[in-house]
Amino acid sequence: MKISVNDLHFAYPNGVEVLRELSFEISSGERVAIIGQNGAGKSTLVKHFNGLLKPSRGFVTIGDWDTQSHTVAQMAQRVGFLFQNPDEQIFKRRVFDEVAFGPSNLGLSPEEIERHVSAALSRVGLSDMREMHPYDLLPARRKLVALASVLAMETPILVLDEPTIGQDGRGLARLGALIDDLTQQGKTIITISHDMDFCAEHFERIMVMKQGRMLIDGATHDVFARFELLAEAFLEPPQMTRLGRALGLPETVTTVNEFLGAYAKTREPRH
Amino acid sequence: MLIGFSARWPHLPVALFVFLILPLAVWGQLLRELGRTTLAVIFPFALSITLVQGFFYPGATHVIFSLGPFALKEEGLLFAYGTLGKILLLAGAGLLLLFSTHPADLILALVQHGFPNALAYIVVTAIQLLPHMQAKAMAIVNAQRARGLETETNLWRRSRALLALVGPLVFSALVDVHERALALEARAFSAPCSKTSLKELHDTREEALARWAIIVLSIAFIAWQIGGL
Repeated sequence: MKISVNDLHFAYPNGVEVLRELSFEISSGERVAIIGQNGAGKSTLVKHFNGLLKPSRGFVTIGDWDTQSHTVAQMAQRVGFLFQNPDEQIFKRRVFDEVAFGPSNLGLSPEEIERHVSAALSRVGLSDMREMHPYDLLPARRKLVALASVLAMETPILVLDEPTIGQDGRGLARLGALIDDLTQQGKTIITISHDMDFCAEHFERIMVMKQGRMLIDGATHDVFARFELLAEAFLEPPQMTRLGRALGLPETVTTVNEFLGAYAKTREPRH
Repeated sequence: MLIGFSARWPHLPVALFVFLILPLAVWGQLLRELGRTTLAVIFPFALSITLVQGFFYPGATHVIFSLGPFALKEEGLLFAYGTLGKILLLAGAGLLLLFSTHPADLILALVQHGFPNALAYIVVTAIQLLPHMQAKAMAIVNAQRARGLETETNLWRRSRALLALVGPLVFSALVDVHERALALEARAFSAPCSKTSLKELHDTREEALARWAIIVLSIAFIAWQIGGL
């Protein structure tokens, strides 16, 4: 399902302009990471994808739906949205019920709900905690409950606002694998993240925002190669990219594996 | 306020509002804010009190006009006017204080005059937490709408939605309180020593004098009204 953003402007009622002249498309199955300084407008932009905010000018369409003419609850059939703070949504007394909240709002049958919830919980690794009280779990786990509650709605598009915050190495690896797996199923994943390494590992397209405008929008390698522009948005490329640059590698690398590959090449005897 | 409430002359509260509170608001450049908020506070009272007292004031006889079995009576309206005048004065004076005095200044002044620190903290956080709670409530509404909770339709569906909204608000408020308490203790909130303040109060002789004058005047006025001298 295609997301299309057309000359999007957004200003708050007090006149502060947060988004200006944004136009782009995101095709089915793309993995897009939106990066930028705090206050650059990232969250404001993604809130337009499910209609939580409506454009002041221009329009946003999800498939054939204009967000202007649909309620947020309707948009929820197409766009799943994971918020930063899980405590702002969790209210059921069992993990299972919390995850079932979204699917039941979508009007699924009890059997379907059971199936969706079980699948979502096993995806995030919480299958054996389905009977527990969400607030008995650690905050990082509660975040996974929130993620499962969004996954269980099985929307074609997923927006993840800062999914990596508070996750340890294992959580990060699981989240990365999950994103890769969801893309395999043809889902579109959009994330906001400050973790450049995570973006480099799992996202193929990077959007860099600065003061409500799109500074760069392109393939991950191309974007992370542009050190000066990134610095202008107060961002630093991934560690491996900087290391590769410092060692004078001929190509831009973004992940550990790419770095090792490129580095090995420079050590090969020349013929 | 005390003067207005203890007066036997029914026009005094309104007069005080017009000739004391409003000029003070103009002086402090708060007229717009004060006017708008006072109206918003007063309007529901005005409507209900006028209707209820106007039609149902016990023992009233002077009928102004009748509407079926109900009749609007003069005594009721007068009573409503008296009550409303008091509410107007109460709201006006309270809001003027709220708008003109930063909560931190108010609390600092109270503490310097012997008000317990912990209580002062409770008062000031209660005031400062409101916008925070409001933002949080908004975030919760958004999170649940994003999971397909319909809040834009009829009343029945909306009332069903309430639990999904109140639950996280209460839970996260409890978590907040816990963290706030830890953060306070980590910064020596209950250390048994006297505290200094970053802020300095500019309390002039004239202001102190004015306060005493107000107190004396109020007591004198009440005595006059009650004693009926």
